[in-house]
Amino acid sequence: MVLETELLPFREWLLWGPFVWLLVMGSLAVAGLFFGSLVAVIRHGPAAGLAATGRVLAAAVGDLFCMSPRRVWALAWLAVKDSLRRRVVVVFIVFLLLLLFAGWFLDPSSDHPLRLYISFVLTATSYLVLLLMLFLSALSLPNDLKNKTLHTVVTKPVRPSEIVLGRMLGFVVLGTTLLALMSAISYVFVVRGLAHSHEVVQASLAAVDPRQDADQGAVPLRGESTRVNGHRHDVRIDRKGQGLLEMTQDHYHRVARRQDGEKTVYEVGQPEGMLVARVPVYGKLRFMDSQRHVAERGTNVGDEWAYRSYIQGGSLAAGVWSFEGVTPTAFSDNLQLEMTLGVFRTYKGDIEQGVAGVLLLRNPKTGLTVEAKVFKSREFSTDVHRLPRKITPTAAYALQPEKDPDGRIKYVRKPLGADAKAQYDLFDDLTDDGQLEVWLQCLDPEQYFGVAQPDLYLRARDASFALNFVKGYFGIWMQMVLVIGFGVMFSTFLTGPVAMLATVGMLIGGFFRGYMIELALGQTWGGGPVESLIRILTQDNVVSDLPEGIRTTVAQTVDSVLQRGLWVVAQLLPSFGDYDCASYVAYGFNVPGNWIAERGLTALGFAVALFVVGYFFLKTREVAR
Amino acid sequence: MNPRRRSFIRKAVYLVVIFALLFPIYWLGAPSTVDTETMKGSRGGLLAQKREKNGLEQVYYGKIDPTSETLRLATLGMRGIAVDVLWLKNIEYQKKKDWTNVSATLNQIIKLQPNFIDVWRHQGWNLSYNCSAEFDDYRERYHWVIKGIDFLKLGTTYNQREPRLLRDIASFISRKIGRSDEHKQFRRLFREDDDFNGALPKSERDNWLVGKTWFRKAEDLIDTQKASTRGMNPIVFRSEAGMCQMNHGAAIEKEGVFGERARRAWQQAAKDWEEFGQYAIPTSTGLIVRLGQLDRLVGERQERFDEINKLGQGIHQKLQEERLSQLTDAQRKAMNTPPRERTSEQFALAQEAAALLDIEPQEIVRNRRFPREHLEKAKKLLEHIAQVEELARTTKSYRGIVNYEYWQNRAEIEQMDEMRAGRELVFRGGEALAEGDLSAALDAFARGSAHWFSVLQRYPTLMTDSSTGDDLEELLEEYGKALDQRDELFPPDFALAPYIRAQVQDNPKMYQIGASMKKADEAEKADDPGTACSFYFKALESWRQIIEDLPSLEQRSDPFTTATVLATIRKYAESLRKNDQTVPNDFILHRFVRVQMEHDPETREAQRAMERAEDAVAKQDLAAARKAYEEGFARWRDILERYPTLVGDGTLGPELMILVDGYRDVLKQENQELPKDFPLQEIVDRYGQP
Repeated sequence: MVLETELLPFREWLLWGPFVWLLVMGSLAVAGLFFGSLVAVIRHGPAAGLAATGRVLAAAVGDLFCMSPRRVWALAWLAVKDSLRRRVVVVFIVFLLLLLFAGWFLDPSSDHPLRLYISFVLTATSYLVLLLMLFLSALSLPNDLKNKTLHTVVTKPVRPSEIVLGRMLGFVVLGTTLLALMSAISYVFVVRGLAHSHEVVQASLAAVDPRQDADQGAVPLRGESTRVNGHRHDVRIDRKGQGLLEMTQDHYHRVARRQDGEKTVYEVGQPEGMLVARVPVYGKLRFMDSQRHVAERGTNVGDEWAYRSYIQGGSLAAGVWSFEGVTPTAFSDNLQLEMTLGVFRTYKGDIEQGVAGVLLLRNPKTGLTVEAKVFKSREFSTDVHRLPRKITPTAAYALQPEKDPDGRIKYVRKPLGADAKAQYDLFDDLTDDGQLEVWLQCLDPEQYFGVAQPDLYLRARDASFALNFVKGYFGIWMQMVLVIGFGVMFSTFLTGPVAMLATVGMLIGGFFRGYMIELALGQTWGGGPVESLIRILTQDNVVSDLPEGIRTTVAQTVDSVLQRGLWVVAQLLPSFGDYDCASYVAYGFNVPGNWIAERGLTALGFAVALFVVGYFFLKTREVAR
Repeated sequence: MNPRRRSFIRKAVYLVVIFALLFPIYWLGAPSTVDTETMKGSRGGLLAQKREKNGLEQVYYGKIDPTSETLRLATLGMRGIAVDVLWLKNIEYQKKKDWTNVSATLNQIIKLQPNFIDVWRHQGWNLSYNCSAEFDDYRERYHWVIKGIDFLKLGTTYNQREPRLLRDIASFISRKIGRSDEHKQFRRLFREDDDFNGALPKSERDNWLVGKTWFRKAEDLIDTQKASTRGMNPIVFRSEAGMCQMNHGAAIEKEGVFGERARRAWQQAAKDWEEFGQYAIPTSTGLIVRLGQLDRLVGERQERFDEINKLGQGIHQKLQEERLSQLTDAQRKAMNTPPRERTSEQFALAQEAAALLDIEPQEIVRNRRFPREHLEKAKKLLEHIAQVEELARTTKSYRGIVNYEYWQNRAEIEQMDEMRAGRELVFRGGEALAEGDLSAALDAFARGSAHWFSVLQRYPTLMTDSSTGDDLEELLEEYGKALDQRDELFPPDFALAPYIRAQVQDNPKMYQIGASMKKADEAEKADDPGTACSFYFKALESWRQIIEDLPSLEQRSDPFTTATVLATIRKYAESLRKNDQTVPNDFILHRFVRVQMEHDPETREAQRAMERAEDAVAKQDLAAARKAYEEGFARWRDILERYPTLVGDGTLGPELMILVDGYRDVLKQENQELPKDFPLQEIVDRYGQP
């Protein structure tokens, strides 16, 4: 699975995440106080104005910290009932219709059907739920104001903060119920959609060993299955009649032979290995150059996508992953190492064979290094290597770091001498306090392996796929909370359609936040908005510099101001794309706990801020006083 | 009028107007009900007819897919933008090698724009050629090639009157599978691919034959349903089915299928090519040409020319005699020299002479001696000849586009027993070589070469054909490898020596060699060894390039050429000597000379003498050792005179010095030193210890 940005460990994130939040909240509070006071001073004069500001702040403390949960819940329930009156159930019906006709859009013969199914259900759900919540949250309060139904509420002893929070909570409850229903139905849709079985084509069965007679029955057989959902499997059956329909389209089936009178019947099970949630242990990747010097990156082979860096074959170059927590309790008796490699050939070589590579295991403390496995590459597919606890290596030596005269660190191979053993224990000899290094080398000269940090990981265990599926929906839930927050906040001071447009703007801006930051930092071609406009009008390309002169200077000065503004706006927006964890679920990886915690806290931070801002805006409305 | 009545009248008027409008709507918009198979049914209203006329009618495109229609409606008229976004995403996914999403976005794009042919063609190519090349495993590559072909096949269901898609399918199946670097593996996978080939018997699962059937489908679509040939060159397009059959024949022979099956394949190829030759091809000048009718046109011209000659009553003969008398001696001599032996100057002179002797019919008719009474008839004949000539000229030029004549001959030749036997022997030789059975390999190669030469003798045009050149190059390479393992050179009676010589003679470098040698000879005559030396060197540089083009020359595949090169080398060495220079250590043909020397019988004799000397030394028989050494060195002297540049060979020199040191030891034991007239003094001076 491709992870282009590294996910920080939760502890590291905690060091700066809440700090940034407090900083932004503090800045907003100061800015709000300043502008609020300014308006009050202009309207009522300095003394009365400042006194009014003080009164608002004092009331805010009471409103924000002395809310009644009972009243908030009553208002939330009111929002739910109001929404149900608006026939939100229609969205649910649309979702069901979409699932009914999804078969038209989804290609079951895809190489990775799970990815298609997951991205379809998660995308469809998020579009529908976000749109629904956008309408509900942005239109609800303005409609109540317009119909004067809010007046009946404010005549009761409720605080404005309770109105805002009640609305938000009500919509969240409604959305959560909808999402829960949708996720349950989607889960059934995915599981049933991918369920299928094959038959073993008995005519294709032949003995694995050509000298043996397949008809005699008790010999290992190989053959193929029937074609279902656009694929067929190679079949392998052992002498006892048990076997597998081998891995194709990310799954396999178990098969068992039984006699039904005269007839031999092969019973094929449901697909396995597809609905998984791997829990990977990622290591930290560094590179060695062809002389085994420590290098920042591998070789650049000119690939447009610089995600992977390449290891030169037939040299000492290597990719080195440093793992932690490699203990017998975490991995029991063997180490399951999975990797996805890129392969780059500078000459054709033997095209019937993959490029040869070797996996070395190194104890980072003692330097003991063993050649654990020689393999042939399989590009763009997950290559699984199970390394036993007791390793009998093809070679063993020590790799010790030494400083070159020019100050560079070089790993030097040294014989083990008397310490050499015929067999090494994975945990006793090769790990130190759970630390282990995996070195990957390419053996074929002039050929290259391309790797990125997430390309090689240790598979500790599998989590529940169903739970992972729910986590996928949790991502959508967080997006929904943010949309509700923005919708309700805008609706406290804008009319319905305007509030909706503003929320849509936030949503779009949030999805393109990364691009906005790139624009703001001048990391895109063509300059800022004014410079781009000049280029469009003069049909100038985006790469060449504009001619020096007053026009360019003015344009770039204005741009730098606008870009700073854009940067501020971008910083205030939640990055909606970051809450999408569909790729984890689709690629069969467990959504990590730190992802949930970091994203959850960020969403909560935004929600609290939006609630507070919403409260102050509502407070300014006549009706709320 | 009360309001209710007014309302009733208004509704009635509306109904009448609606009813009246139905007629023009029907006249304009009635749909076509023409069946695409039988071409029967109503042509529909004006719009339907216009659409049909301009090839725009939706029903002719193919199936109307409800998913596609739903998606198109769902984009609310922003289909173009949606496709652009998807296209950009597709590029991004491809860049990031996310193949699942590449397929998924393509699926969405085609649902939105199912009748945009270039989308199908571009993305079909992208899948089969670009995406497939991203994979390291050839099985994955094949899978993606087929994915592209399946994609195009899907396109044909949406666009049933689009021959370009059919042609692309045919082209991918035939060329992508049959011409890729991995064609061996691809062809094997294609044969085993039950999913793609369905019920097609395995014996017919040849990518070239399957490709041919798709080319035929495209032809049928154009011929029977008048589909547009937009963007397709008719001559190339019509030749492709026939070419597939030829390539099938060639491919199965490469895979070791000869016998009757290969003959039938080539027989069919000849038949297909003949049919292609009869196909009327429209040209850009408005003429219609049939490639197979060139002989008929040439014959027709000759007949009319003969008629003019007859009317001219011997004018042609008189003119020819006059022209012959006008030829210069040099032109006569050039004409009398066989073409392969002509120098470049003679070549030009012979061409001039031929042009002079070529008498056009117009010259006969315009001749003042031409009888007046036949002038009118002759003019008509001239007009006819002009028309036939233009048609023949166009036909010839169109034949050149598809190399018609070559493939016509090839299909004939490949059916010959001689040819198939030659190919089979060479194939078996390759197999024997791979298995390490050198004797069988050499025997098969030698006999195969003889068969090949007999075919070349019968069809000399093959000598200059690049495809034959590739086949023979492969034969020479394999044969050369087998000989190399036996440490032998090509046999003196090697059957293909004349072919190699012809290749050498046709090499443009030969003109440079001729010119350099001429200038070197002139310099020799002028007693200017420095200039001679530089021109000999230029000639040898050209020889080196020829040997690089024809590496078998090093193994003496043509003894005549080898002798010529060695003679030039001797002249070069002599000129160096005269100019007081020594052979440089990095002499460009050291390797060539060394191979010749190593296989010279004199070298074997010299080596034997040295072995005898070493034996005698071991036995302390100094007299016998000395005698053997002296005999050996005398022979080495002869060898160095035969191959004078060996003196500069940095590998041989030190080897000889070891022998010289052995000889010195023997002399030392007899209290003697190297004699002053030591035959290898030159070697001692160059490589001996100072």
